[in-house]
Amino acid sequence: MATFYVTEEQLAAAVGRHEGPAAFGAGLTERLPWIAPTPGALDVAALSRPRAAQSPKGFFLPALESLGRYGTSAGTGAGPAEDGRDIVLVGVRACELRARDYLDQVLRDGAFADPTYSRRREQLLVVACDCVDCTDSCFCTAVGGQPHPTGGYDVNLAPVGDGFLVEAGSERGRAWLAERLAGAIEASPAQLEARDARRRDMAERVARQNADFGLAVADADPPTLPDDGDPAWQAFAADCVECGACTNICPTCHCFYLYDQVLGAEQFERVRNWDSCLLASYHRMAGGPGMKLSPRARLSSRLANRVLHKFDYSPRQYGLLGCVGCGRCVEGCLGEIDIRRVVQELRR
Amino acid sequence: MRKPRIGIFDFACCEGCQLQIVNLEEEILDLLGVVTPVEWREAMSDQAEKGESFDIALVEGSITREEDAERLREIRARAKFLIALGACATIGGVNKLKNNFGMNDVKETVYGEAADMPHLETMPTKALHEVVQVDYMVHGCPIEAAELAHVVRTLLAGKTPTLPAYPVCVECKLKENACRFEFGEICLGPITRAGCGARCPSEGSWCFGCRGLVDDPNTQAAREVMAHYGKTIDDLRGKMLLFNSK
Repeated sequence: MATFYVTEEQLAAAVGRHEGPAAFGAGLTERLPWIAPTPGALDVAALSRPRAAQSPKGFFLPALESLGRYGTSAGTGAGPAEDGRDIVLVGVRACELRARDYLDQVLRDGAFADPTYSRRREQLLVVACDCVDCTDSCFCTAVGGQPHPTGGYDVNLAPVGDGFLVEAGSERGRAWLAERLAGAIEASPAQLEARDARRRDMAERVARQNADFGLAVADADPPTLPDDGDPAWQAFAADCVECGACTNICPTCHCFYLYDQVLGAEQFERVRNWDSCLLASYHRMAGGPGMKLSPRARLSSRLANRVLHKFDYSPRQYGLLGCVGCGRCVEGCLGEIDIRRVVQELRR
Repeated sequence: MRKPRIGIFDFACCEGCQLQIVNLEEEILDLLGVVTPVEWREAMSDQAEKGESFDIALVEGSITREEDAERLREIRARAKFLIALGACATIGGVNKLKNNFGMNDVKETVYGEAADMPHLETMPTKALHEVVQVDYMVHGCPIEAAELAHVVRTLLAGKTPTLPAYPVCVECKLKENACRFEFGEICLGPITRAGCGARCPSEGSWCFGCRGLVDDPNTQAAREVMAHYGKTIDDLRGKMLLFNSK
């Protein structure tokens, strides 16, 4: 498909005409703030900054959502509340697309398709964006990725000086472009060449800042790590305060907790929220009050589980690494645990 | 079906947690629709007959005198479920500050020359579970009213209420707050039990630890976090005295 050039003003106008949604998970009594995107004008400057602190995971898999109410007064079998809105996500980065592809494997394309995930996945129109800057902790190139999208988007944007090169990646994206950016002109060969040069520069920059870690792994070439009982994990676990920040901000972590909230006399709501495998309560099993049975009573085993899930179990199960190198867990960790360093020091 | 009967009691405390129950407003009407309050000094004029039993006893405050301990044992004997309400009841809270001193020093500081009068006799503060068996705890100073409603509703539905077994940091990170350590403060979030939705850090203050220590705090990591921000473990202990004295 053809690549077009648009100015910042044209892009902002095209996106700005889209009404923002209030929030996902209508009907919940409490809600986490970042799930609600703010309606209004697009922050064009943000597209040229490094990826955001928070990933768009919450748009596909909300941190807290109602799966339906049941009970005598609510009427049984009520399904999840319909969002009923088309949402455009603008500025999704290559690592985040890769993470979404991974979530698709887990939540949509396996034996059991998660209905609310699948529905949101279809609803969202994804406008991706090349990275033209990165954080100190970005390491997509070390895990087989690159800082620009190569597919999986409806529309992709590449910042070029005073504007963007725009490209559709799906039929839906093409229709969106035709409707909203009808006046856009085709990109010149010089603009395309400038974009490609910038992509090469960015990939080199990310690779350069990770040279010391020597990670160089890929979906088909995962590292070999010690098993979760190995004492080598303990040195890293000593720094973990069990805050769960790494799993919350990770774009691929998807473990959840299901519980029934009592709304009133014989009226219940089934709620799903994000859980974290770092937390002791995540692994706790039935066995009576106070017994606290857990197959992962040690924090080192829980930390190992998260890293092994990314770099060992996921490649075996899905043929994909569970880590896309966004570096968010490196930034968010109170104990300064760097997953690059963990893999570097423990790989065999 | 007979409506479950609830009694609300207080010991050494500011009664702020009972105020939180009153603050439930509309929700309290829902709850009252499914329960019968039979004893509540702060909000009811008619009180239960002596020795009458309850399905649920909500008990606020700490135990600081032997006669309080005796009264608590009597409430325990009458209640099917006993729920400790608020920091004074669940961990001793601010009332345990006095445990850092000798009881005579404490009395003299507060009452001066009158300290020896017999009705001022006092003992080191105890949380409820240090005197009787407590079935559930609703932590906090004051309690989160919604959490109490959740515990009572869940119990009435025949289910088991669960307490978060992770630190305040989990909820704080979910709210995307900037870490209080980044502001040069000492925050008790990493070692304090969650459930408040990181209320204080979300409002721009460090966590005071009013919900007590999390089940299995990683003290080594707490040490390292302190060291990273140029603080010592004694700084942390100092902050813990307010709500988590022994």
